[in-house]
Amino acid sequence: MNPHTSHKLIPSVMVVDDDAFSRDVLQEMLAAQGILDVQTADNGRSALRVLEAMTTPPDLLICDVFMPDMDGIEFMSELAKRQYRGDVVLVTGVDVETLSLAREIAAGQGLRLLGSFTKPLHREVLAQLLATR
Amino acid sequence: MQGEAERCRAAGMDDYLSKPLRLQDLRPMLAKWLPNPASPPPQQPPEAPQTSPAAVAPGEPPVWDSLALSEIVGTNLAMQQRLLAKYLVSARAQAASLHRAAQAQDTPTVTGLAHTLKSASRTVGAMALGALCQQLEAAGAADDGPLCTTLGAQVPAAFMQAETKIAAALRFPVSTPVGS
Repeated sequence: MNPHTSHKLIPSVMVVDDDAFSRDVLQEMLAAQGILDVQTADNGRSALRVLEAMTTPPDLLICDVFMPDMDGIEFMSELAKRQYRGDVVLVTGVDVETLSLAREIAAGQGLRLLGSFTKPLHREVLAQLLATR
Repeated sequence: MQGEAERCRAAGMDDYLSKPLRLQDLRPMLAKWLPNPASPPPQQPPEAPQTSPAAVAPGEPPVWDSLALSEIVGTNLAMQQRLLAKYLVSARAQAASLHRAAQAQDTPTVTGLAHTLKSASRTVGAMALGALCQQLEAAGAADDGPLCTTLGAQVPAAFMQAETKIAAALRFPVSTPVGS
């Protein structure tokens, strides 16, 4: 269960984004990196439902910040409460102020924040993230 | 909570948000209080003529930058075609919704839809539509209903221009299956 000691060669990933096209782009790029075990959700609340139904939580969570119903910031708090120990990458199309706020909140709650980026996440950046985790 | 907000303002605070902090509340407040060079002040008359002679043509974003998507996802042609086809379907629906919300001057909905369509359009290289969506997002965040209506009226044509270029590229790809 501890991702520190059991890093799989090919990680399982969950993509949380309210925009279907953003999810499609990420899923295609992950597939191109050989990552086919990808769950998706369209906001924080549905992501929590998907997480609860999983026997093993995903190794990596790629999460949008601004989403309806439960946004990325609230979702980060819920993840921290549930002691999620996988890696988190934040992505957003909104301004850098909001992104840095989200970053501070995630880090302040003890989540393993791998990075935070403005959308869209480029292929090279994704590959680098996957290689360094 | 109402009383708390009033007390804060009476004590000289600029504004007030209650916990838990929600981005949908924080965003309009950031837009209200932070200087935003991307959006002109709303009181500036929109029909003010551009005095600089070189102001229009060189800075104008292209209808479709066919290389934009490969910069993001790589040069896999089949993947690009799948994504472009998906973009056309989702962007068509979003452009229609955005147009309707802008006509109704539903500024919160305009802000959200314009934001989503902006980032998808820029990802695939539909730069002119992306730029229009950025203006709409700013107008929505500033709660400028009339400007939303004016800009929103341009959305259907901007989408169709992008769609025409992208669809033409999809119809004549290097390796398209016959009859698809």
